[in-house]
Amino acid sequence: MRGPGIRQYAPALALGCAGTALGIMEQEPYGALFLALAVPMLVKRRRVAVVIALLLIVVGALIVFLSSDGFASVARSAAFLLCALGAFWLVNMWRARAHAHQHLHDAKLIVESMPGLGWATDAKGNFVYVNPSVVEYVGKRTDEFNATGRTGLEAVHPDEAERVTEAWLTSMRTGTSFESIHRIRRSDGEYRWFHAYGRPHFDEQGNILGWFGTTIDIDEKKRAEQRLQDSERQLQTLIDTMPVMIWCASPSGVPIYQNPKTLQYLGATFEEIGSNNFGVVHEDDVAGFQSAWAECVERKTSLSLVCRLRYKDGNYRWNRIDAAPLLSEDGEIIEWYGTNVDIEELHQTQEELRANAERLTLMLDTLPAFVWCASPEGQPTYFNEPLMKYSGVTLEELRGVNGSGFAPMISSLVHPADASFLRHRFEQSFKSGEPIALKYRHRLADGHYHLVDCRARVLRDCQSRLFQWYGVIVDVEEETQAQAQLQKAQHQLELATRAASLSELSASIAHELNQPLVAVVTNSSATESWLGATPPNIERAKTSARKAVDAANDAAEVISRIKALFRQSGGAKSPGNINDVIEEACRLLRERISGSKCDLRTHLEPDLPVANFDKGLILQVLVNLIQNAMDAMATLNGAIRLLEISSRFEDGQILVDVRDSGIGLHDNEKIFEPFYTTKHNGMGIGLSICRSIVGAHAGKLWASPAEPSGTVFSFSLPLSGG
Amino acid sequence: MYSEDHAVFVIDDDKRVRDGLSELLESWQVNVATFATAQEYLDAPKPENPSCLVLDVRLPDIDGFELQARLADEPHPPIIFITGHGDIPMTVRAMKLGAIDFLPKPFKDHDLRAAIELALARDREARRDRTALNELQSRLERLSARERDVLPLVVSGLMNKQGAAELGISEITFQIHRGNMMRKMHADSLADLVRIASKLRVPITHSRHGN
Repeated sequence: MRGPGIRQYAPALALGCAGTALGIMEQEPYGALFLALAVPMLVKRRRVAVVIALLLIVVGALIVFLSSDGFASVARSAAFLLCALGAFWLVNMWRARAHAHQHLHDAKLIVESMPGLGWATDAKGNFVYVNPSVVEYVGKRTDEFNATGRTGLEAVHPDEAERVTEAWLTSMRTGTSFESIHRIRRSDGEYRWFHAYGRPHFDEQGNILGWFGTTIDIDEKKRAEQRLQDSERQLQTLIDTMPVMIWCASPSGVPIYQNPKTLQYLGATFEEIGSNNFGVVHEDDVAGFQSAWAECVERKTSLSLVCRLRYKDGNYRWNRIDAAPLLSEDGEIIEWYGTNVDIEELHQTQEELRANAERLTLMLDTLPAFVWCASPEGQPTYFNEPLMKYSGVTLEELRGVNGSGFAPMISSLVHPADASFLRHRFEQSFKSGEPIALKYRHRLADGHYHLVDCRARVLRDCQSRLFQWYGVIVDVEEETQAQAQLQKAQHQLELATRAASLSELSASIAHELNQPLVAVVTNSSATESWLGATPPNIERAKTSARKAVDAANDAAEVISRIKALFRQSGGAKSPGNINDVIEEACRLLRERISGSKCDLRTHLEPDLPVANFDKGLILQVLVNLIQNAMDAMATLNGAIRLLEISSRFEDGQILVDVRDSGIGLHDNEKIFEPFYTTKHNGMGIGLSICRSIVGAHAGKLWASPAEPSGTVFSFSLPLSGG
Repeated sequence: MYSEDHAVFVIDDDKRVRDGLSELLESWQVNVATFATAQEYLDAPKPENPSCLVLDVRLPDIDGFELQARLADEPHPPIIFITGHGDIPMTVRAMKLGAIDFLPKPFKDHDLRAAIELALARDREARRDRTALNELQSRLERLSARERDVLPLVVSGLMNKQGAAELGISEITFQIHRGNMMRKMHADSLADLVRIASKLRVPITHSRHGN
């Protein structure tokens, strides 16, 4: 402890020095007394000060003794000595008291300036002292606290009050230190966290005299802790609820943590995964995974790979695994942190895309057609594999610099004779964007030229500018040759058909003539027999002779009909309208039609295109079909006899239907065979000849059942057939 | 010329041909019946007389060849085909299936006549053979079971002793059966019996030197 400064003592010293000076003049020892009292005040070390003071007092007493004589000198020096010792003692005691007071003052200063709440209680827990911080914080004084009878507990947060009370009572009972962390209400009502610490002090018998304690504001720390806990909890929640598989592993790869999503996804417990680290990886991917992991461990780099993991349902699904090592300051791996992302769908989509692309390439390369693309200016941008093989060039060879590949492409792939025409045609399309379709001779890898069919269309961009030409080239060389052969074959077939018609015609004529001839011959022979008998049977001979004549007339009629058949046909086809022929046939047969009680209806399509046909032959066909129709209905009793004739134009050919309402046919094909007849005296020419005639016009003749009854005979005449 | 009962059936869809043939055959004193279709013929009652069939190849319902095929499995009148457009393959086919003749229209009357006479004679003979065979068959049916066993052994030329051993009976018993069998079959000699057996297609099962 430091005494007051010398300046503070100056007036007192001045007075003392003045008294000492006067004393020296009068030979009185007041100076020694003053010094004896002043020295202890000024000298720090108490023992030295006492020795010096006592020496000064003894020196003063000696001076008094020596300056006096006799008994008076003894009495005076004794009086001085006693007074000085008494004064010194008192001064010393006062000084000790001042000293103690100074200590107390300092202690109070410490307690009150302490950065916390200081307090003291008696043995019963009543506050005997609270420092100003308490009063300031809580807003109550000691007596106010004590008035409640609960010391400071009523300011404790209700949630902790019970616990703190318990602890305080326990400490009071057992005499152990009291320690508690709790919230205390501030004067404005806000609670802050405090760490309270109290210690008992005892008398010599060990009884508790009271308690001293401090309560330190730890609110900031507590709140920081709280925040830390909150953020930890948030982080945990985040990791646990994120729809991402998150894991953490030791440097060697042993799992340390796997978030619930991971465990749920894998359908395994943490222990199961820990025991067999790679067990969930597809067996085909394990080796790759392990080597990639080992490499990353060695290089301390991030891991990123795609592999199949066993999903909880047992199927393997593609996952993307990313992991990064956490490195210590000295560069060692502390832990691995990683995520797994299920990319099964993505993977499948990618696979599909790749498969699609492969398929497309495969398709383009296996198509039996040649595919190419070119820029709007004709710079070739794509040739498919077959086209390059076919032409014996590669796309690179054809590509000119600065898009000038069009001219070299033409000159190297097109027959010189076709080149200028082709170039012209292409250049036109490059300007107009018109689709290209043309045939030219294409140079093959072996130097030969094949006729090809080249077609191309342009793709326009959104501003409808030409963007890219897409084209196909089809080799039509064989087709062209085949077509020529086919034409030749068709010509031969036509000749053969004509020959066949002729033989059918002759067979049919023979048949039609033979029947009456048999009758002529048999009846004539019979006549002869009847007349040669004995006696001759004249009556029977007459009958036979008449029958022979009738049969001969029939034969004559056959011949006249055959003549009629060919009379009108000049064998030449000329353009005409089929409706005219139908009307002529109806006119020719008008009498027979009305006689047969048939109801004739015609539905002729107006404005039929003009076709090339032999009018005479087609007329015969129509007459024959109409007669057949009437014959088919001849046996109908009472039923409606409906004869319908219609014409129409369909699919480039003229169609004519002749419909009857008869009983129909058993077989729609057999009737066209030569010599087949369902009629007993059927003549006309056979349907087979009708079919031959229509066939010679490149048409068809067929029969089909009519609704509700009867038959429709239809024939077609293609316009191109002429 | 056709004193006995007989019949000629004509099937042709052309009435003029039917009438002409009918007229001609009647003038020859031939009994004739005509049909427009094969079905009409099949449906009609036929007398048990020698007869023949004059058949047109091309007919509206069942054609001539088809009718011939249908009749092939049973005794039927010999067939003479007539046709307006015959060719060699058709002729060959018809003849192979037992037709008497194949006459292209128009035919000569004496050709038809010859064919009809041949056909009727053929049918007459066939009917006779059928009757004789029926008689033999009924004789065979009258044999007892043992006599029917004895017949093939005798026909095979086995001696009585061998035959008896074969059947496990005494030679005397075998001889009795053999005598009864010969009598029932109206066979005067072994040669006669062998001829009858061959007509009846009795198999020769044993050999005197074999077994």
